[in-house]
Amino acid sequence: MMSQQRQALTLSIIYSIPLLIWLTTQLQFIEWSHFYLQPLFRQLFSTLLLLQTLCITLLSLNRVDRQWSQDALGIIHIILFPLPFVALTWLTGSVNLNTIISGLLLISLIGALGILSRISIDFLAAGLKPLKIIPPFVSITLAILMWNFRHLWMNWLEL
Amino acid sequence: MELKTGLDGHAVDGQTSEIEIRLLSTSVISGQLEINDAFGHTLIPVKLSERVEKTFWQAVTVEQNKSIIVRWIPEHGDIIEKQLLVDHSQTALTIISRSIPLKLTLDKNPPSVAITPVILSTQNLPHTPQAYAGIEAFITAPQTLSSLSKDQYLALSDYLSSCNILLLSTVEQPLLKRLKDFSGCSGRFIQSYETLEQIPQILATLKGRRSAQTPSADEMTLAGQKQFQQQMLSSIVLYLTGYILFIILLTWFIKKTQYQLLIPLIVAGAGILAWSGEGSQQLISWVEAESGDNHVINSSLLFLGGNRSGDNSISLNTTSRLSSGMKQAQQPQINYQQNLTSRVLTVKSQLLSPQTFKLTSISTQSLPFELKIQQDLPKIITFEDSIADKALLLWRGQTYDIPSLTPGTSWQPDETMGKSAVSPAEKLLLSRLAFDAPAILMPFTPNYSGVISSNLQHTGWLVIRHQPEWL
Repeated sequence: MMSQQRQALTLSIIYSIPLLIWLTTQLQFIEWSHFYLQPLFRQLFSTLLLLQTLCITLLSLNRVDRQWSQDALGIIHIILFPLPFVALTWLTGSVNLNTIISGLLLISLIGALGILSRISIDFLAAGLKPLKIIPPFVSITLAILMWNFRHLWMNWLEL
Repeated sequence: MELKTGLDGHAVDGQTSEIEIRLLSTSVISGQLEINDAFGHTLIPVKLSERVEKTFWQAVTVEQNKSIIVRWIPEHGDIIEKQLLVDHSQTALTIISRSIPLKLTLDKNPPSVAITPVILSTQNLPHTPQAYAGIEAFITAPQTLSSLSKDQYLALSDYLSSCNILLLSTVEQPLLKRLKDFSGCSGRFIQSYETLEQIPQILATLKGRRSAQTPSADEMTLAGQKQFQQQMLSSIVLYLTGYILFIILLTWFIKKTQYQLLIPLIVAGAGILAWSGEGSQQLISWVEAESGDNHVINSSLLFLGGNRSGDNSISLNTTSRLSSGMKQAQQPQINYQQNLTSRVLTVKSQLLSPQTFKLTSISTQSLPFELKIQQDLPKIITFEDSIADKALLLWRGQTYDIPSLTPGTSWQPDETMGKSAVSPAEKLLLSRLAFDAPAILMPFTPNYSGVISSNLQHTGWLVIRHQPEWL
């Protein structure tokens, strides 16, 4: 069976391929001036944050390891995987370092909330099976909130 | 410190004008003059001994709702700051010498063509070639020309070399001939008039006959930047694809996936290292001249950075006209050197977005070909050996390879040998040519481009146009 980390990597690889094709196509056909390039890379960064949230949710729905440390490592994989894309975004001057750090912290917070809900349920109500749906429910809710209020956090991150 | 705007406070929006900065020292002073205009930030080092008056004429770029701020920053002491505002015009200006009472005539009989007159005394005529950027015609008396200062004379020579219009009140033929001899386009745009009422008509005729200006920054970008984009796109795609494939391979083969946490960090770090620092410097030159003329107009596009993210610096000659090639992400800083004959342009550029500047200069150069029309066919006479390898004749929407010719020999194209334009430069020139007007296009690196750099990639074309048959 696939480990939590391997699942995180697989999910990241799955979203990165269409993202790379989309970026290449855009770069091939748009005019290369900062007026067009910077919005493109800002869009790339906000899309990455949304995809990372989606990956964290999918990861919580298919939990294979009982150890929370494995969950944490899976989430770290999801956060670190798109760093080369993020580095490119930063080099084009589309986003500053503060925005990048804030964005990654936001994703870390979503991941941490998911893990915390899992630890809480494991420790507090280990015997109650129906309560085991709470951690995935928390992750799904967070993903829905991220999507629904995307204009809000994008505005906050100046994206 | 005293400030005064050139052209009597008039300027064309987005064009260069000039300002006069007068410094009077009461003791020995040294410091910097800082000029902030619509283009950027210019620093001029100044050192003056006691009780000395020094006047600088500095080119500035003017934009609506943006004032020009000049600061005197002494090494010791208080900073002096002053602001200047100019009257903006959306249309090109016509300079009229104060001795010519044309304004009354124009008021009485409004001309059919729009003329935006600026009436100037001799001492207010431009002192820098850049100040002529927004001028479309100059109407004066021969006596005014004889009382110009050296700077004013040099600026006017530059203006006339670029095939600009000069109208003179009744002038002796030998003087008119001398003026035409040192002007561009064989002096066709220098004319004399007898009565003031003739002026609007002469101006309308001359304006209509002016050939197209040098290509715009956008057109030149298309002609030369495609290769840069392809190289950068390939490197980015290879970088990201390589990274994803590497992760796929490691995920497949390595059991302990936690070690893979380091890979994105390493790859991102490598990307930042590779794409940070001083970027490339690329110059695309488009040099145009008329057959039989010695003046060549060199219009170049300077690309700084783009292949890396970081600060870029380049030394430029002060005689070339520098303007923004496109809307800049960041305004440049220009540091004049102590001798005021060169300046260092510094700007920060980001990955994939080079900072673009347009450089325009006039120089004297003998042309390798002469282009004539004989029996309705273009005729090329060569003056130099082994230069015709890649030269092309462009005529009636077709291109013709010019064969290698020995000096003094001539060649006429066979109309059946015409080919379609292939390269961006050929397409650009054809789009700028009248259907029947021939022109020669050849790869060319000008001796003088105004850029002093060993790290410069230079691509250029020389265009020799056929001289229109009207005098």
